[in-house]
Amino acid sequence: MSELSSVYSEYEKISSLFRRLNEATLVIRQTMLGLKPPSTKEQVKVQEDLELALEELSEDEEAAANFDFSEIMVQLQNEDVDISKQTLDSIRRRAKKGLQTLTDKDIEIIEKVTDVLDSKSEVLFRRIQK
Amino acid sequence: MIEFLVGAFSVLAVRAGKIVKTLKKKRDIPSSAIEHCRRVSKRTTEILASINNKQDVLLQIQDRLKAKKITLSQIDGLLKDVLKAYRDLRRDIDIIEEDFVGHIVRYNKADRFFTQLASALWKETNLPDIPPVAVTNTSGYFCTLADLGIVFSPPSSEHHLLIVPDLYHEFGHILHKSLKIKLFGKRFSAELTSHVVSLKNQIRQTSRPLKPETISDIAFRWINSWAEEVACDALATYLLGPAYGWCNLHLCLQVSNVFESGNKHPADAARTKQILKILRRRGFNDDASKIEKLWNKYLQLSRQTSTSYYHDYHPDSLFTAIMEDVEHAIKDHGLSNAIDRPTIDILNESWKQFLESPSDYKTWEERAIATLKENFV
Repeated sequence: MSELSSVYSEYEKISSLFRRLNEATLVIRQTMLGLKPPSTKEQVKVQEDLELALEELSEDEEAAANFDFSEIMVQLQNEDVDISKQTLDSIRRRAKKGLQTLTDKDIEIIEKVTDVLDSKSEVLFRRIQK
Repeated sequence: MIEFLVGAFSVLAVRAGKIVKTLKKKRDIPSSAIEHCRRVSKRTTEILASINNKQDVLLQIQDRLKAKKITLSQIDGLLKDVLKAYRDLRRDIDIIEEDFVGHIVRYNKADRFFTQLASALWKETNLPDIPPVAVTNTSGYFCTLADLGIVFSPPSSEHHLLIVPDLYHEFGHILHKSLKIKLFGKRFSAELTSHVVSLKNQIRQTSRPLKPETISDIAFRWINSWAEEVACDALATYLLGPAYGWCNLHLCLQVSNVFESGNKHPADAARTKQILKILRRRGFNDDASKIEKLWNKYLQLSRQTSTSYYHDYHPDSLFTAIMEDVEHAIKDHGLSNAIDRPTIDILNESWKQFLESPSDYKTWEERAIATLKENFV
């Protein structure tokens, strides 16, 4: 496999994680501002996607050497973002009860993660388009 | 800013709509390519729905601001989320447009032949789902965008049967990444853990000067991409036989140091050793010995020698574990050689002809390609 194939696979993984997390904060903020919320079915999907995404992130930290996300986690730790397994698990537990139960702090953490994922996606995208 | 973003989403929506339209009307291509167009079109339609949704959110914000139901300071977080979603959607549209639709629009006779060749090889080994689209204009060597179902091969590769075996390596990536057929797993994971423990013990018990970062790097590379590369080599060798071994030797001639590894690939020396092992395991002892003899001569001539930590990065145990994982995946998913495999036979025969009579090979190859083209019509 050439460098391109491998970079593209990495891009797909990172952007998939980004999308699920960003969609969650977007829907929560939409509701908080009183905009028309997505249908119940769509909200359930966003909630499930968020839970899975958080699970992937916390699992990754446990595995330590696990592929692409370890780099992301190191970057977040360097930026003093609390992405410990304990924190991610507690956000996940709250998310399970419904998106509206997430705290401002939870949303802030997810937002910082999506900032890093967005930047990483951009870097990989530029490498694909070279 | 909101109006500007609404406009940017509109431009993106037009592009997505054009992609869907282009892919839907494409009919003068092989059926497998039509199916991939349908899938990419479906994916783009989903992206289009997301674009429309974000545009709708922006318009709602605008309305509420006008009605003074919310203030500018309240919308910062949401606006930032929408902006990040825009960047993500735009990247996706750019990739689909450039790396899939562009090739479909410019699809030519050579691409048609290569796609048909890929289809024949795919079906002769009973691989699942549909074969990929294959285009012949990459700037480097073979590469695959697994989720888009497209394989790129070097220009004019439709005239060079000797390199076609590498298509099987690319098929491995599609099976593993896109079709979720796990080519490696249980054995590999256990063996990697055991290798890491063994290296850590060497530091503790024998004070070996090995940095913990080196051990992390070894594990990271294997998990990140090496295991998949080694698994794809194993799959190609199992399904194709000696032609893959010869093709690998041919490719290695252009490598200045086969003992050097990259971030994404283990060293070619280690990959070659594994390919030879699998050929012998499959009973191709004669070919394996011939390849090995030439390989050793090549190493001697080019004076290539092992690099530091080579054996730490390339332990036999990991290659063996992946080989066994691939054997099980082949068995579990019924990926095996059919009795009738005319295209695979031609690839093996092409290497036989090349080795037996290099000066006459070109004439033989032209005839073989002409026969293949007649069969594909």
